[in-house]
Amino acid sequence: MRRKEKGISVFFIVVFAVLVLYALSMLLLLFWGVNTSLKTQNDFRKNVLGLPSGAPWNWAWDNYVYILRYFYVPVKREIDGITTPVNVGILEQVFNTLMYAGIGSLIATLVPCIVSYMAAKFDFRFGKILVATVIVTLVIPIIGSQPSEIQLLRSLSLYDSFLGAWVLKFNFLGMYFLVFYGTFRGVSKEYAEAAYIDGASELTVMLRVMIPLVKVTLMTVICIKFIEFWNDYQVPLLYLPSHPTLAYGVFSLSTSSIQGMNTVPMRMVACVIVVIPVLVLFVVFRDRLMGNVSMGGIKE
Amino acid sequence: MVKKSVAFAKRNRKKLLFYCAVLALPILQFCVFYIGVNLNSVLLAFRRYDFGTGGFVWAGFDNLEQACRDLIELDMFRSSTKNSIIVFLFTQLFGISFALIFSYFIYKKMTGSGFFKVILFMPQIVSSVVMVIIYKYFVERAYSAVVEMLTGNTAEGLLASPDTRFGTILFFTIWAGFGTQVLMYTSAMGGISESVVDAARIDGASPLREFWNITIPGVWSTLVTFVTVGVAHIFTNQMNLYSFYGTQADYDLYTFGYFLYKSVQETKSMTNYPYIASFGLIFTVIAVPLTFAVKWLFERFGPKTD
Repeated sequence: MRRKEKGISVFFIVVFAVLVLYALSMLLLLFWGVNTSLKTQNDFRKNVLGLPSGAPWNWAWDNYVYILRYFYVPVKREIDGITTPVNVGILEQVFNTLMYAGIGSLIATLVPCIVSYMAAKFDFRFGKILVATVIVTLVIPIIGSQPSEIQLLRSLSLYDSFLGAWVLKFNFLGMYFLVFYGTFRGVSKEYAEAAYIDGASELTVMLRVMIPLVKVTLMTVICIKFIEFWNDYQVPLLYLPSHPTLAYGVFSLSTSSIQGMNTVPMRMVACVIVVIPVLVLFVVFRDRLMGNVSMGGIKE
Repeated sequence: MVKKSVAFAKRNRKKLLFYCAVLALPILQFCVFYIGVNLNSVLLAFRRYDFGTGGFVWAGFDNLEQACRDLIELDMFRSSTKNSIIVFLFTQLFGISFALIFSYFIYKKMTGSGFFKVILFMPQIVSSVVMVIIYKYFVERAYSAVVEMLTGNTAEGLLASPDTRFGTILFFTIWAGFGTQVLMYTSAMGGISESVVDAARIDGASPLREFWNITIPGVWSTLVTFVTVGVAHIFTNQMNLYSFYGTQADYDLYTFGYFLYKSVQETKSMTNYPYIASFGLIFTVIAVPLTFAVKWLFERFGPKTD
C-alpha cells in the first residue's frame, strides 16, 4: 500500500483547486436537477435558480407521483401483422430494463468468464487462438456494422426481441475476457487437480471449484455491466424499438411533446427516477466497482 | 502401465469433448455475429436494394463512389470531418492529460482523493442521457438566469447561440469522460515500483518531475492502449449529439459517429443500408492503418520503462 504524500507542492495545490472546481460543477449540476424536479412549471418559469417555493412539504412532490402514474413511451408494435400504436407504461419499462440489463449483464459476464476459463486452464492450442482473437478484435476497429447486424437479426426473426438482444450479448470478445483470463491464470491448478482426484467431472470442477474462486471478479463485472446496460438507451432504441427500457423512456421524454410531461421539472423527475437504483447499487458496491480493474484481475 | 495410459487417454478424450461442448455456442455466436456480420457489412457496401425482387443485388462500386463523392461535396460531411477531428484531438489532448494528472493526485493519496475519485467516476454511474438532459437545461435556462441576474440583460442560452453550442457540447464530452480513464491510470500507477519513487524523492525530485519522469513512463503502455483504441473514435464518437438533439442536430454540429447512428436509427426499411455500410467500410479502411500507425509512433518514440 502506497503511503500518503506528506509534502505540499504548488503542483498539487493547482490540481486540488481544479478538482474542487470539477466537483463543485458536478454537484451543482446534479443538485440543480433534483431541485428543479421539485418545482411546478410555473414556479420553474419564475424561479430557475432558487429552491422550490414554499415549505418543503409544499414542494411539487406530486411530480413524482404523476410521472410514476402517467409516464408512457409511445411505440409501434406488430400485432397480428398490423402495425399498431402502443403506449408502454413505467411498469413495463422497468420489466424491459430488468430483462435487458439484468439478464443481459449475466450473459455478457458469464460468457467471457467461461470462455476465458477454457483458454486459461486447458492445454489446447485453440486457447491461444482465442486470446489472440480477442486482442486482435480489440485493436482492429470495425465501424458501421449495425445495418448488417440488423439485417441478420431480421432474417433470423430476432429483431426487436429480447432473445435477439441476449444473442448479441452472448459474445466473449472485449476487455473483460482479458480480465478473467488474467484472473484464471493466477489461480493455482492444484484446486482443480484435487477435485479430479476426488472424481469430479470437468463441469463440476468448472462450476463448483474454479468459478467460485473468481466470484469477486465475476460479481464486480456483473455490476459494471448491469449499470452499463441500465444506462444504455441507444442499443435498445436500435435493436428493441418496441420494448423501451427506462433510459430509452427518459430519452423519449426529453423529446416528447405529451401534454403534462413536456416540462423541464417533469423531465428532471424522470432523470432522478432512473438514476436512483444505480446510485443505490453504486453506494452498496462502491469499493468493488471502483476497485483497480486490471488485466491481471481485480486488485483488492 | 497400459491401463494407466488408457485411463489417461479416456480422460483426455472427455476433456476434449467438454472443451468442444462448452465452446461450441460462443464460437458459433462469434462466427455468425462477428465474422458473418462484418463480412456481410462489406458485401452490403457493394449491393443495392432491388424493389422488384425485394432483396439485395450486386451494385459494384456505386455506393462507395457515391459515399466518396458525398464526403467531398456535401457540407454535412465537411463539418463532420472537421468536428470529428476536433473532438478526437480535444478528447485525446485534454481528456487524457487531465485524466493523468487527476489520477496522479489520487494515486498520491492527496487530501480528498477518495472523494474526487467518486466524483470523477459519477458520469459513469449516471446515465449519459440523464447527464445530458440536466446539462442541456442548465446551460440553457440556469446560465441565462445567472447572466440576467448579474448584468440585468437577457442572455441567450449556450446551446441556442450558434457561436457557443459546439464548444458547450465539446466541453461536456470531455468533462463527463474522465471516469474509466482515471480508474485505469490509477491502477497502472499503483504498479510502479515504490523503490524507484523513493529513490527519486531522495534525489530531491519535485512531484511534477516525478510525474513526468517516473509516472508517465510507468503508465505508458496503458496510455498507448487508450490512444490506440481511441483512434477509431474519430469515426464513432457521437459527441452525445443524439442525447442532446435526437435526430434533429444541425449539420454544422455533425460528427461521423452521429451520422452513422442517426442514419441507421432513421432508416425504417433496408434500402439505405448499403449506403451506410459503404461509409462503414471507408471509415474502417482509414481507421485500421491509422490505429497501427499511432500505436507504432507511440511505442517507437515514447519513453522506455526500463
